[in-house]
Amino acid sequence: MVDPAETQLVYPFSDTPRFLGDSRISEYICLYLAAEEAKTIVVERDYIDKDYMIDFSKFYSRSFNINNKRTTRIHFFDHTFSEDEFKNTLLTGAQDKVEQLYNHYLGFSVVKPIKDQNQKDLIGRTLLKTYKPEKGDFRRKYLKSNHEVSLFGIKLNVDSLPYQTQDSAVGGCATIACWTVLQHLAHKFELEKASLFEVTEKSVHIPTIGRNFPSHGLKMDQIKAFFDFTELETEFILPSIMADIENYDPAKDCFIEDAVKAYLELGAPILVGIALQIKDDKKPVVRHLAEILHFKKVEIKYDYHAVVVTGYKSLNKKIVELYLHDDGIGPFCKTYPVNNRFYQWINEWVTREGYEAIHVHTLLIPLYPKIRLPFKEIYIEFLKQKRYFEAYNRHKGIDPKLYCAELLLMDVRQYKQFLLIKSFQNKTEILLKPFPRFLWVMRHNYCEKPFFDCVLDATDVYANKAFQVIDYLS
Amino acid sequence: MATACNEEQIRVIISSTKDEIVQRLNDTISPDVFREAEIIQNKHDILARDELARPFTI
Repeated sequence: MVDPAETQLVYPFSDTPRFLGDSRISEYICLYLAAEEAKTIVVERDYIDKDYMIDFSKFYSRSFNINNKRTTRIHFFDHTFSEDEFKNTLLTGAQDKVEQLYNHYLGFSVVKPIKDQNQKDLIGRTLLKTYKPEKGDFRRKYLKSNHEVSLFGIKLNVDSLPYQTQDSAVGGCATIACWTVLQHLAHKFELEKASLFEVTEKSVHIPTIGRNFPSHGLKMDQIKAFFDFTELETEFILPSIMADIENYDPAKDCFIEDAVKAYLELGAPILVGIALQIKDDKKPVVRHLAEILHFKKVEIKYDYHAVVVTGYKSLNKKIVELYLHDDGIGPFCKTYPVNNRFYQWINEWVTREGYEAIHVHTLLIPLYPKIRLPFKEIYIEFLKQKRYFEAYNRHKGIDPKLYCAELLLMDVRQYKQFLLIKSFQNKTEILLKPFPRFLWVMRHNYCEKPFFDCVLDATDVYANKAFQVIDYLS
Repeated sequence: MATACNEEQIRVIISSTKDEIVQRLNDTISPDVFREAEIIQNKHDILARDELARPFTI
């Protein structure tokens, strides 16, 4: 808890729990930053956080017992400095010291002056530096953008994606997930941002019989309604349907992994509805007996939760871990597949909270409306091409492990920058050719290097033909 | 029986049939793709009534 009478600014990192509190999320943030070798924190008291200020004005200001509209912001650094050194930097503006702070900045966390139902401090907008993009043979990809920060006039910078914990008065998990998605897309497509209260307020235009505030969660059509307000298009992918695609082979393909790779390439976050399977403590014999006595199967029960996929770790182009912004766990939380397939997940909901399993229920991808060609259509053609190459490999005796197909959604700038440093047939002619703003790229790799790209115009309504085929040279 | 190939071997194998592959990728996409996508979308719409009606609350 922050003592308003305290005036000290600089503390060792080990003092962080004093300010962030002892919630599970605070513990997670401390562990995350410990892995980044955080050494020192600076406490910015009376910080005006726009998101909380809006929620305060629209909701909390009319509560009898909440009268503080200011927050506390904690800044994290991976080098050691003292209170005197920091105050001296403020006094002199010494450029070398300012640069040192800039180079060692790890991000910040806002602590709201309100508590959750367990009397734990609520963590507001949090931006934490992501881990290094490479670790041995592993590659990490994150959704992030550049955020400038001013600490008493000192210019700082962090590349990240905003996170905050659930504030169930103004919004449940789905509201937080919408907020996270919008934070990123607003940055990318110059859209208007919304606070938690505003997200819920817009979503509940699709009414339910429950109260709007305090919020008790949102349904997928309410989430869609929110994105309609922000003028974003939404694409839904339902696992139970995708597995029915004719060429889909659940042993070789994973549409969840393919969709994550495709959309994150463009920087489009994926909102995922997950079903948390509640553990049945009954012994199998007791369950069986109950089924016989009641003449029906004992129903499996689920809790439903919403998260955002914000990155992944890959090895040889295969995703081995997902990173999620989960308001119940923390930012960029690691999530593992069950049996190497991401149809079911393992993370703290299973290992800590005691759920039996995590099932992927729905994928919802808010998109810039100009991206018209849907994933479902492209995916059918992608699988056909993949099967064609697999047959080719069998025919030619090529080890199937050396081949890898990728489906990527890219914008023209990104794609031409990629092509510029590659060698391929008719390079100049292709680079000079005007391309549509958004592209679906079906890439066929051997030995982790691209051999062929089949490029489709993602702004088209019907893609009847490849827009361009890229034939890479050695 | 699959044989382990290095990159150069693959390039040699593919170069002999490159035109065929490029032709396959350049081919007009079969109307079956759009018909199948339409069926998938219809199934989505039917399932959506039940599946999407759940509130995400945790």
